[in-house]
Amino acid sequence: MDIAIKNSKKRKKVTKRVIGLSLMIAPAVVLLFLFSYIPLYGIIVSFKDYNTYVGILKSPWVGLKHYIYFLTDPTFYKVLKNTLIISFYDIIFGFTAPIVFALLANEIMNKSFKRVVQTISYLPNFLSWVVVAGLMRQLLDPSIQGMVNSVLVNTFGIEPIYFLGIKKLFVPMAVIIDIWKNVGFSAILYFATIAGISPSLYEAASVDGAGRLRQTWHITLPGMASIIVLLFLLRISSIFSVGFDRIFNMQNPMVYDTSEVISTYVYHIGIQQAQHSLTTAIGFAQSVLGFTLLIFTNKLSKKVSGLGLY
Amino acid sequence: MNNTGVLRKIFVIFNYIAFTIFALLIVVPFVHAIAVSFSDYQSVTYGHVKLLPINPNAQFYLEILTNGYFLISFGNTTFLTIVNTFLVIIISLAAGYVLGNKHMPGRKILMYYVIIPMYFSGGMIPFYLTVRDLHLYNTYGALILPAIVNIFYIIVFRNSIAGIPAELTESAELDGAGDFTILFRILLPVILPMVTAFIIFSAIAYWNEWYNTMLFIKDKEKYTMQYWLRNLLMSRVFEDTRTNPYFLDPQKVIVNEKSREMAAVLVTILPITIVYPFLQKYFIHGIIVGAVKG
Repeated sequence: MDIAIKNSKKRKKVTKRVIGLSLMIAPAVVLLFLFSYIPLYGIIVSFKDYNTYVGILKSPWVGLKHYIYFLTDPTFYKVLKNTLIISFYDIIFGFTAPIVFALLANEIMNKSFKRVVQTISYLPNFLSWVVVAGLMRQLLDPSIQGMVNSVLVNTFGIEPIYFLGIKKLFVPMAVIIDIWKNVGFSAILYFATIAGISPSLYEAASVDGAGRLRQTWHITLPGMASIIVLLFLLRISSIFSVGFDRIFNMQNPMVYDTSEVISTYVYHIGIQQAQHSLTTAIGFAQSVLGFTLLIFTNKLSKKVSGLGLY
Repeated sequence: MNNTGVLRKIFVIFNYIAFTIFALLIVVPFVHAIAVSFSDYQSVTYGHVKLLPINPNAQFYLEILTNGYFLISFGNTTFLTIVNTFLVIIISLAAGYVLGNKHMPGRKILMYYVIIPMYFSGGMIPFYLTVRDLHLYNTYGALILPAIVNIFYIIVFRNSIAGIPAELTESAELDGAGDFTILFRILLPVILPMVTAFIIFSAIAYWNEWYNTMLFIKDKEKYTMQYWLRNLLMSRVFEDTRTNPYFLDPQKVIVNEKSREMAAVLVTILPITIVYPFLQKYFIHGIIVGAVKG
């Protein structure tokens, strides 16, 4: 047989295969182009005074005008401060809660009790924030129609508290309710990690006379260390992106002062007030900052624990 | 040994109590909502309703379950959940497979192409403007297309598939199997636990979708169920009753909106609440497998 014919047959097979593979990845490529890359191009809107009627290309260039604007805008700094405060408390309480939850649950010996509690604790995670905020708003209603205030007033004779309407209470409520929603589910990963620790380590420690507490400190925690560090890093790199969903569904105009974070601020003035250019600038800055943070914390993690995201 | 000391016993008791309280805390808001939704106007308004309904009646549930807009939104949500979950998994599997396939030229560049958007995003406004300029405003397309590409899934599938021994695919190739067959008949069963977990998470996320609806949908007939719910709940907070289509005309029976709202909330979460205990073992298994592997 001619080598030439063999080769061309092979090439046809290869090309056919490449076409097949390309088709398989085509939807992802096209969709990413449409909804990830075109919006990236949309960032140039932040360097222009975007006018909806004229479109992106014809809107006038204004350079760094919008960046300078928000960097010197006191309202923006208030929003930034709110964002960082909520992130801070989210990390101190929200990040540690599932870890504590997993460690304590690990000490529960009754399997059915454990399973029931876990099953119950997963449910809020699967509900939307629309639902959770709705339930909480009813529970914490400022009139006596809400159960908490009903008990406070009728049983303890205290004045009702407007939990979701007092500026200073918003942050604690947002953090606590977030924990309520997520702690059970977030703990699953830690359960899996704990389960992966070799039982022989515990046996050996036990033989050496270590009680549960010491075993937890010297075996369980170190065993969880790498995943805790990894997740902690991911958390740190997203301190500027406090979730829109939770805040948006829980806030009302009375508490905007302490509840408005970057994501909700961008929505309010960007979409509702159509300040497209300014909010695109903010969004881009946020993205760049987040990315830089991620690189930095990843380097840090590699130095500390030899583990990184990539 | 310290394992059976007094301190330990106290701790164990404390632990059980703490978790019992925790479980109750999870359950209480739901119980209260159920109670309010079944109670009458007087009892709710005067704050008598705590954990048990007073003068129970199901009027609000009937109202909601016969409300045209609710039913349509339920249909929309069901349709979108099924379609989107199916599409996102298929697209992610296919892309993950190709990215790890030796026979695909330029897959390194493709890898960068896929990963970059994970770190860099245009932000909310450019996304909004893009969807609008693609003439997807107020269409189902806006609720499907942007939602069905998941970079995280693509990467995870790529890594899982790459971890499968090559002999498996090679023997199939020798038997004349095409890439499609290899992926779905041979590789998929191997990574099924993780895929199942992702299917569950995706389905739930799509079921709860309201954000894209808020941004892009104007017609009430295209609302998703959670967005319908949000409108209903927000109408109280922002006193928007004039434009709220679900504010019914004066009734024969005086209505406490809170009861209706709680009934609405509970109706929307009923499907998930019923289904999720059965799905538990699937997604936990998937998470554990995923955690161990990577």
